[in-house]
Amino acid sequence: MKSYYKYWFLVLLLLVVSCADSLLVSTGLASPLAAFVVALIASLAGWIWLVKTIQKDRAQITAYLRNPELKRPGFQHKNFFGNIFAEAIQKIEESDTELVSTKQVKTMLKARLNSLSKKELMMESVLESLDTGILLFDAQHELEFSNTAANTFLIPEANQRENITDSSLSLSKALINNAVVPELAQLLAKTIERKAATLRRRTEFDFIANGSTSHYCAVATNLHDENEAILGTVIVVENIGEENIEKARHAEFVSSVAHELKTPMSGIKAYVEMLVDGECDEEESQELYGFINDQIDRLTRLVNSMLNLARIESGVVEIKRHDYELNDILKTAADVISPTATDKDITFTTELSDMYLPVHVDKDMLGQAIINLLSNAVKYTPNGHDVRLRSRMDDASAVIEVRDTGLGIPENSLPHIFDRFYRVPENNCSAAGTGLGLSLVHFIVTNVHNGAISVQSKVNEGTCFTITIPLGHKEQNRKKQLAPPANV
Amino acid sequence: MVPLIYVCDDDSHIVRAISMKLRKAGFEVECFADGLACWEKSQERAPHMIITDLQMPRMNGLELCGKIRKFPETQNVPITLLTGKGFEFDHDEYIETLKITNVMVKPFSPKKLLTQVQESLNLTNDVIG
Repeated sequence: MKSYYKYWFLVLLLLVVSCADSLLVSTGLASPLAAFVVALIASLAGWIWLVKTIQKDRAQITAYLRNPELKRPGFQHKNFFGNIFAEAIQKIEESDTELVSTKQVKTMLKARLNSLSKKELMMESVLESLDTGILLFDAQHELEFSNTAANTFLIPEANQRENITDSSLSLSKALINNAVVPELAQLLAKTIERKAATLRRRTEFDFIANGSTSHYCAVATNLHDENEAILGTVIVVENIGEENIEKARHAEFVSSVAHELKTPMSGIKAYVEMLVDGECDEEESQELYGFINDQIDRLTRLVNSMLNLARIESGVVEIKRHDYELNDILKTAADVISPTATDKDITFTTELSDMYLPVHVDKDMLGQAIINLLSNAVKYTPNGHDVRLRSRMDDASAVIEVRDTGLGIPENSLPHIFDRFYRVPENNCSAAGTGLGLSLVHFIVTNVHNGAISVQSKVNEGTCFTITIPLGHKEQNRKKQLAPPANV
Repeated sequence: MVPLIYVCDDDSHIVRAISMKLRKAGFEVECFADGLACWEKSQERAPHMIITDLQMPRMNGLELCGKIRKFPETQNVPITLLTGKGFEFDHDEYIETLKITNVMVKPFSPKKLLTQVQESLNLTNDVIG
C-alpha cells in the first residue's frame, strides 16, 4: 500500500486544486477562466509526473526481467507494479523450487535405478558364473529366473505338456506348465505344500546331462519377506557326482591300504599263533621268527611309503636336486626290481643310452618314480613275459621308457591312471595296490622335475610309460659362473 | 584216505603258514600262487577242499570259485575264501551265488581255519566219499 501514496497524493492535490478553484470563483477573487487554467495546469503537471513515474517503474521492471539470473529484485525505490511484480516473482520462484526438487528427485531415482540395475547385473553374472544350477520361482510358482547351469533342468516350451492328470502333481504352475524336469517339479511342489512346516527340502537324483549320467543334489527353499509373506521358492541344484566318485575312491583307497596292511599281518598272526601253540620244532621256530621279521619290515616299508607320499605331496619333504647321470639312477632302480622280476619269471632287460645323460634331479625321488613304474610293470605282467627299461636323448631332453607286455590298460581308464586312489577296475584283482603309485610318479616327474609323463597301452598287449626330463647340469654352470676370472 | 586241500594265495607267507598248519593236522596240501594254476590242477585232480585268497593275479578267487562250481568233479567241494577286504565285500551275495562254505577275513587264526576245514570236510563227508 505504501507504494500507492504518491497516487493518493496526486488525487488529493487535484481535489485541493478543484476546491481552491471553486472557492476563488465563488468569492470572485478569480475569474472562472483563470480557475480553469490553474486546474488544467495542476492536472497536466500531476499527469506528467504520474506518467513519468509509471515509465520509470516500467523501465525498472523491464531491467529486472532482462536479468538472466532472475534474482529476486530488491527495489531501489517504491514501484507502482512492485507488489504485483514481487508476488509474481515469488510465485515463479516457488514453482521453480518445486521444479528443482522434482528434478533432484528424478535424478536421485535415476541414480538409484542405475545402481540397482548394476547390482542386478552383478548378481546375475555371479549366478551365471556358478556351476551350481539356480532356479527361482515367484509366489505364483512361475519360473522367474534360472542361470545357465540350470538350463539342463528346464524343459523347452515346445516339449511342455499343458495338462498333467496326476492330481498329486497339480499343485504348482511350474508342474502344470511342466517347465522343469519332474525331479525338480516334485521337489518344488512338496516344498510349496509344506510352506510353514519346513523351510527347505532336499532331494538327490540321477540325471542324464550331455549324454552322461551324474548324481545331483537339489535343495528347495521357500523365501519370505519380513512380514512372513511368501516371495517365492529357490531351488539350488549341485552336481555331486564327482564328490561321490571322490568319496568312493577314498573308500577304495582305505580298503586297499587295509588290504595291504592285513596281508603281512595275516602272516605274522599265523606264525605267532603256531609258535605260541608250540607246534614247531627249534629249526621251524627259527624260520618262523625270520618270516615274522620280514613281514614286519614289509609293514614298515608300506607305512613309510604312505607317509612318504603324504609328505612329498604336502611339500614337507625337502627337494634336493643335484647334478647326476641319469643312467646311474636307472641302474640303481633296475637293481631293486630285478630280483622280483626274476622271481616271477619275467625277462627284465635294460637298454640304457650310450650317451652321457646329464640331469639335475632329486636322485631319491626320481629313483622312487622309476621303481614305482617298474614295480607296476612287473606286478601287472604275467609270468614269462617281458619288462624293458630304456633311456635315450631327444633334443634337450632325456627320455626314459618303461615298457611291458602285460595286461594293458583299457582306453577308458587311461585318462584316470594318474588320479589319486584310482585303480584300473579290470586289473584290480590281479594285484594289490593303493592306487597311489602312479599319482606319486606323476607328481615327482611333473611338479618336482618339470618333466612330462605319458602312457600308451593296449589291453593284453602291454603298456609303455614315457618320462621326459630336461637335460643339463646346473651346478657346474653355477661353479663356472662363480669361479674367479683366470689371470693372464 | 588223507583229504587233499588246495591252498591258493599270491602271498607266500600265508600259503606257507596255512600249509604248515594243515600238514601238521594230517592233511595233504598243495599250494598255488594264483587262481589259474589252482584251476588247472583241479581239473586234473579234484581236491577235497579249496582255500583261496580273493585278490590274485591271472585268475582271482571269485573267478576260481565260479569255475570250480561249474566243473562237475569239483562242484560240491567246500571252499573257504580268504579276504583282506572288509566293508565293500558282500559276503552274503557270494556265499549265496558261488556256494562259498566259509569266508575268513585276514588276519585270521590258523587254528580257527583248521577247525573250519575239519567241520567242512565232516559236513561234506558223503560227497568226498
